[in-house]
Amino acid sequence: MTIGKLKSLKSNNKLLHYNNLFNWGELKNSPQYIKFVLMLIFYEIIYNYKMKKFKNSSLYILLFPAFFMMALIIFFPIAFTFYISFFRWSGEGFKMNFTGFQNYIDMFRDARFLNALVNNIFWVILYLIIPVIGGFILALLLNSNLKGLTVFKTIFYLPGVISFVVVGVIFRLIYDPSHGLVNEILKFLHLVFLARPWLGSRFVGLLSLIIASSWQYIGFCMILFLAGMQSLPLEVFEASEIDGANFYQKVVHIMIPLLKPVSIVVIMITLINSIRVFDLIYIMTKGGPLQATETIGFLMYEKAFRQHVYGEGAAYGIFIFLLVTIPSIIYVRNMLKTEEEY
Amino acid sequence: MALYKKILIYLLLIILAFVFLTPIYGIFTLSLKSIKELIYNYWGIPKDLMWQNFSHVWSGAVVSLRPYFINSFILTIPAVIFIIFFSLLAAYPLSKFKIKSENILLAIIIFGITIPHQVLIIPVFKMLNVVHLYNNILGLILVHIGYGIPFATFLLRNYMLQIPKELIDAAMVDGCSHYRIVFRIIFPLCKPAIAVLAILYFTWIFNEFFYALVLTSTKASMTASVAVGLMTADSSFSIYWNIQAAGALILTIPTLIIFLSFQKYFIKGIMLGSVKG
Repeated sequence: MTIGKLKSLKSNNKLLHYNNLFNWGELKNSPQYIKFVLMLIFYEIIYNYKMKKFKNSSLYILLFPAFFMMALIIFFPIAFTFYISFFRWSGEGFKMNFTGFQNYIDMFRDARFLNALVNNIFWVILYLIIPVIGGFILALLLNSNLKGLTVFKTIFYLPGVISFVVVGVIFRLIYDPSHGLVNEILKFLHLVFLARPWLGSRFVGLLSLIIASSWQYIGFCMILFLAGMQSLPLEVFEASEIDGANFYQKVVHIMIPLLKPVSIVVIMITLINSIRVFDLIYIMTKGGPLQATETIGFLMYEKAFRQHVYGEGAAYGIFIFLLVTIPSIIYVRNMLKTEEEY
Repeated sequence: MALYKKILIYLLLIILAFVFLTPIYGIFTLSLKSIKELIYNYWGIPKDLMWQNFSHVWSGAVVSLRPYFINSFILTIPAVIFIIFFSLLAAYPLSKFKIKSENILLAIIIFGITIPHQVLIIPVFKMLNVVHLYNNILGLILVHIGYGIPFATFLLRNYMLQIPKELIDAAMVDGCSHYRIVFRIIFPLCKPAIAVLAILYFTWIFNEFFYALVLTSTKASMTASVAVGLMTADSSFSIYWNIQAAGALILTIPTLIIFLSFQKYFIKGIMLGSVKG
């Protein structure tokens, strides 16, 4: 079979009539058949390419791989999680028993869930205070034309590339009750009465976890705020200086209102990150002692992959999804709005 | 600015820098101590430098992290390449042409950036089980590709908006197909953004913990971050702080090298994807 022959067949547009030309029965499993089919496909592509048939449709073909993978890994799973959350399912096979809203009812009645919810709210509030305001202050310090500030920028962002696994290991050693760095320093300063097992109780434990997490996350907030500050028009500040505004007035009355778009992004990303927090808790406390530091994201893992009640795990997942939806819709709208201004 | 203000800012920054570097100092010195030294000297400067700790962790009799690091690289490199390839293809029509329901597609992409792992993990786990890709690096690669595409597409699209439309029009008048435009014109022009993405995704996927924890279970496919996480949480290592610290430090080395050599790109990438400045 030569390309020329194929070409003539193709130009007659009689692909269906190939059936009459070959004895399919013999050829179907033979290597020649596979070769032939491959040649046909190859020929189709070349032919269409040459005839510019792709030219108009190819824009959508270009979109296809990305959207297919997204659909497979993100959007289908969301729907499937939603579906599972109405069933009792042990995870083996596809034997599911429909239970309606039972999983959700169980979830809200579970004392462990309520405990985790309170912890998560605590986490969200403190996470909005420590890294966001801390990052803002760091950005303010770095937002001047002094020399050598890039070094500090690097240092403050450095923890941001470190894995939460490593952050967990470092801070578990730092918070260690007998030889941890914090307690050693307190001992050195003769403040032994303040020394305690930092991960040993509920709110102190959570606070310690949040500080460890902030150490990693603060650089990210700082970079975003700094980028926002450096894109602000200088004239406004100069004008306010002539009018006699002091530093505090400049920051509160000019800078913060102008930074609103950046602040929305930072706050929404922080909200989403604090709702789904998992890694650090798994590494540092495993939710302990006695479930004192569990969050919903962690509990979801426990339910699904430790206790193997996948239905309830899915309900937790959907709960997280609903919590995240509000900030993420604000985020999407904010992004699309800046789009139009652009 | 007045001199005392300058000094005050520098002083504050230096103090803060010390606070920020303390944990790194701690883990670095701990990893170089012997177990005997740990009895009396936890946080001080080590007396003898025990570089052997690292080789014990890397390929020792008790722990050997080497296979896990190989897994991590086998996972990370193809995942990054495919994320960038697919995103490049998708970002081109989204940025350069008026296509139907463009805003909806964009909203879908941005929404995809914000979805937490926990929402997706049960179906993903089940799907990979069904196609026998559970505990398989290939499965993990697929998951990371799907999860990573939205942010990369969004960032590349934003970057491509800067490319003048005339360039593409001219190429199309000359009879260039879209594929050729993407690979011959868009790709070279987007190289800075692609470098940014490659660096960001390398660190993210290399450090990623949750998917790797759930979707792998044995030496054949477990990644380094999970291996280090499980090793340091193991109670048999609880007094061997030096071994824990050495394992943790090894895990940071690849991302740290990349960050310190390409830090400009890092900061640019974060700004490009999140805020348009």
